[in-house]
Amino acid sequence: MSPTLDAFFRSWPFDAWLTAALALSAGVYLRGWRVLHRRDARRWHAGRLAAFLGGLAGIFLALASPIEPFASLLLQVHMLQHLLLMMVAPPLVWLGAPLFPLLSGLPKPIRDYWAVPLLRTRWLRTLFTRLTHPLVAWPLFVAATWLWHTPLLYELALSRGAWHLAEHGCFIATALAFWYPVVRPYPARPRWSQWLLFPYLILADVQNTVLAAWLTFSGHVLYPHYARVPRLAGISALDDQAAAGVLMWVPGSIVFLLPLVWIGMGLLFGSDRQTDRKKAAGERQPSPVTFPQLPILDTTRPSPVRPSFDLLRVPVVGAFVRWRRARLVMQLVLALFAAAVIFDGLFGPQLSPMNLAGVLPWIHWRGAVILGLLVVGNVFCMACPFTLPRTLARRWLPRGRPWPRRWRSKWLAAGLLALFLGSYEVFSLWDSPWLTAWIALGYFVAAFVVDSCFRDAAFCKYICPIGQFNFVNSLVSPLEVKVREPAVCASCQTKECIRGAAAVPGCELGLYQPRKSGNLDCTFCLDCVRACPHENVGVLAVVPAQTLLGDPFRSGIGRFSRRPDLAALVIVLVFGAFANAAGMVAPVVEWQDQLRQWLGNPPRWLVTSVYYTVAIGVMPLVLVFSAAALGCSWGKRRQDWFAAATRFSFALIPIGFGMWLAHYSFHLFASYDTIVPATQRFAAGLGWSGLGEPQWQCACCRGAGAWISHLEILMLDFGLLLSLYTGFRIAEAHASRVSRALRTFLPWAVVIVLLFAVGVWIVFQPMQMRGTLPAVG
Amino acid sequence: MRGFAGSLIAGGLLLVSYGPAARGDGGVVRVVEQQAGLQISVFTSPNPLRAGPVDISVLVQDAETGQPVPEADVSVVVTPRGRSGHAIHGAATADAATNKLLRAAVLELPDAGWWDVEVVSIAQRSRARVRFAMECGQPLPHWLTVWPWFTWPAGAVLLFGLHRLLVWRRHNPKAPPTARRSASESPATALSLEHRAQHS
Repeated sequence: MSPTLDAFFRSWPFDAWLTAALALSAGVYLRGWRVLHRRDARRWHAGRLAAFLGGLAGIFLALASPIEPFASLLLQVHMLQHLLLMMVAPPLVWLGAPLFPLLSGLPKPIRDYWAVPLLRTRWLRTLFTRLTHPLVAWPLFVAATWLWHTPLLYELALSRGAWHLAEHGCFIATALAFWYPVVRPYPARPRWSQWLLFPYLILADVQNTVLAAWLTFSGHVLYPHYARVPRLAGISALDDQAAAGVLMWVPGSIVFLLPLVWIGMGLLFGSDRQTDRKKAAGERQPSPVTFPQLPILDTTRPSPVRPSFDLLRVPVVGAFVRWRRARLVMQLVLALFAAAVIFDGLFGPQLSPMNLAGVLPWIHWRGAVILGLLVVGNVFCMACPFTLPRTLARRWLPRGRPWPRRWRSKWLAAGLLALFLGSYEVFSLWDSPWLTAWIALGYFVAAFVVDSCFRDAAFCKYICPIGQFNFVNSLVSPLEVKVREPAVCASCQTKECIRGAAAVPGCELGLYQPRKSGNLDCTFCLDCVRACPHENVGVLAVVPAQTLLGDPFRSGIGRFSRRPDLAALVIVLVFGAFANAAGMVAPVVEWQDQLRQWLGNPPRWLVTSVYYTVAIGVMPLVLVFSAAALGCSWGKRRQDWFAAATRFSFALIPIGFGMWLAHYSFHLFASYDTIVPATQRFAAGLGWSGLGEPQWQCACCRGAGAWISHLEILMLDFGLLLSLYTGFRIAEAHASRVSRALRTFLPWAVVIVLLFAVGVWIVFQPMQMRGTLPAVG
Repeated sequence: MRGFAGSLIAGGLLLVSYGPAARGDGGVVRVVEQQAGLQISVFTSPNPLRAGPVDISVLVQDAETGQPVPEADVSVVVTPRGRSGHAIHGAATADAATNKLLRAAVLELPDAGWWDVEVVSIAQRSRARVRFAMECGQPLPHWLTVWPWFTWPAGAVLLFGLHRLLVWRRHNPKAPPTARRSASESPATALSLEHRAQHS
């Protein structure tokens, strides 16, 4: 094989966006085609599937195969790319009759909520009908072909990537419009005589021939780019141009003439299509595609209910989680880690990158907790080591008193959480293994003392800052401890899920399963799962943040709109996310230094305290109450602004979660291997040399990869969208008119977008790589 | 839905991991020269050049036959012109290039201005040295390089707005926006409305 050919076959560019888009399209089509094929195998035969996948393969070959890198060196390869995009992929895509399979392949909520309203829109249908009319599609196709082959635009596309993309997009779009009347994919109905396709295709072939002849017989190089690039395989620029012209001429003509023959045969000898046409003419169908009549677009039809994903029914994992001792085992494992952190923090070197207490809690544990919330739910509380001593000592401890009625709220928890967030920065906890160890130790003691004096997991519900963090953020998690069949609970008289059974306690946090909604206050202890005699409680998949949209009465919580204490907790957490992340970026640190100088050099902790007081105290109050007052005023809501502030605060949870996720996953992904040398040193200190010498280079500060900042922004993006959606739905639920809902929502949207902008700004700033050694050199 | 969600997550991770770095797949032709029996062609990208990662791709061909020379050893040196600064060295390899005919080196140019580029190719016991100069503009601000990542939600919001408008029009085909009005703005009925919305 010649070196050129060898290089050609090895030159595969990777375009993740294109590959993902094509793979997603293929997956959705395949999913829908399988459903339709089971219903009507004759209509939805394998040929349709092959055609659609072939069309996608054509696009892939054109844009993500060796053709793409070689297109800038050889005009004939570039021509092949254009032929694939204009004459191969579009008709194949239409031959796959993609409308029904793609619609059926979409998940029902997306199909009903998003796709169907768009497809049923009159003006969109009208637009599509007009664009695919032969008298419109033909000129569009021809204009795109000729315009992009003028030397000026061709050179532009070759020199600028964005223009090249525009060129390809233009080719695909106009070619799809051009081939639609020819293929007439199901369920399109005939609107024009098939005889019209003869001049349609013949004229298209004629213009193609003229352009091809111009390229083939031109005496000079039409596109200067190809005169500049080095020649391959001894092909001169002029020969290359002639070859490109021939390629356009011969295979291009075949592509135009083949369907002509096929249609002609059908017209002469009869076909199903002809019968369809006659039938359609008799029925006087006004529209080519009668969307409203299509059963698939009827969202009112009941669809078969599929059971939700249930973690407890996953092999191995489900069995383990259901096991009576599962929580104890998980708690023991984490307790071992906690013991190591405490020991190393108290007795190890007081340099955080070298100490387990400096890296394990602040880099790995925090990252794991937030990723656990994203992927599963409140898994940390499930495995919480701090409650292990009181669990083990339960049989000897007195039952305790009920938690004082006046303290049965989240005010204390919100205050403690604010204090914890402030202390983290004021005392640089991340930089002090000794203090970290004492905090862990204090946690064990506090949990034990509180739960010894008070019953019903009072520490978890009313005090624990980590628990509050997990409770609130798990409202955005995809899994929820939930009743499987509500009808079973309706007939249940014994209510073991809350009262407990013989050997299993009921829910200590007072959550009655049939009336529980969301993960708030749920520690995922799964006592209710084990207590339920009907096995009717599972860990089910839910739509993230859906529980925030409504305001039903929730067992153990009440209504969100009547819980200002909960709203305060949410606000501390949301604004704390931004304050906490901003505290580690260079500009904010500089501002604090400037403020300190301006104030006459008071102690640093005082300036940091001022920063936190403003960031998670003053600013949230100003923003939230302003938004509530403006929203009530603009939306003409009679509900008082304090109640509105309470209710709408919950809409901020997703954007806050996005910021926590971005911040903690940044540390985890950027410094994941810092645990290696710290563990090696710790093990060596205990006399275990099996792990080898500490590899301190793993603990060194290094730049974060670009993908981490992309990931961080993506997390903020999803937080933004979810918060905006939640806020809009809350406003919509309180107003009968869309305009009023929008006016009520507008100030909250501004607050959410503002938080998003701050989050993106934070991501762009140089960050302190806490818990790592300074880079050398 | 589960499989769909899984595919979405997998696709999302794939996209996130994708960094549109400078790649060795050609670009603007800077110089084509024949020396010592070799033809050296040098391409640079992006176009226009900016300080930051710059791709310098080199095609080494036999000057007589035009056949590429796969065993060529290519190195690139970039030196700031008329100002202080270190020379930047890099080996151009086929691994770094998308188009395997070329040898690519991705060099990080620290600042804007003119740079002298020297490409040395050793192949077929010959040594060819090609020199040219290129001007780099100021680098784009970081936010301009990643703007699609944080602006796409605006598109999603617009789409959602369009969707709501269509849904509203469908349910209210003739009524103007102010026609459908009820007494539901009172606090007493607001809750029931919310419940209704929730159940719907």
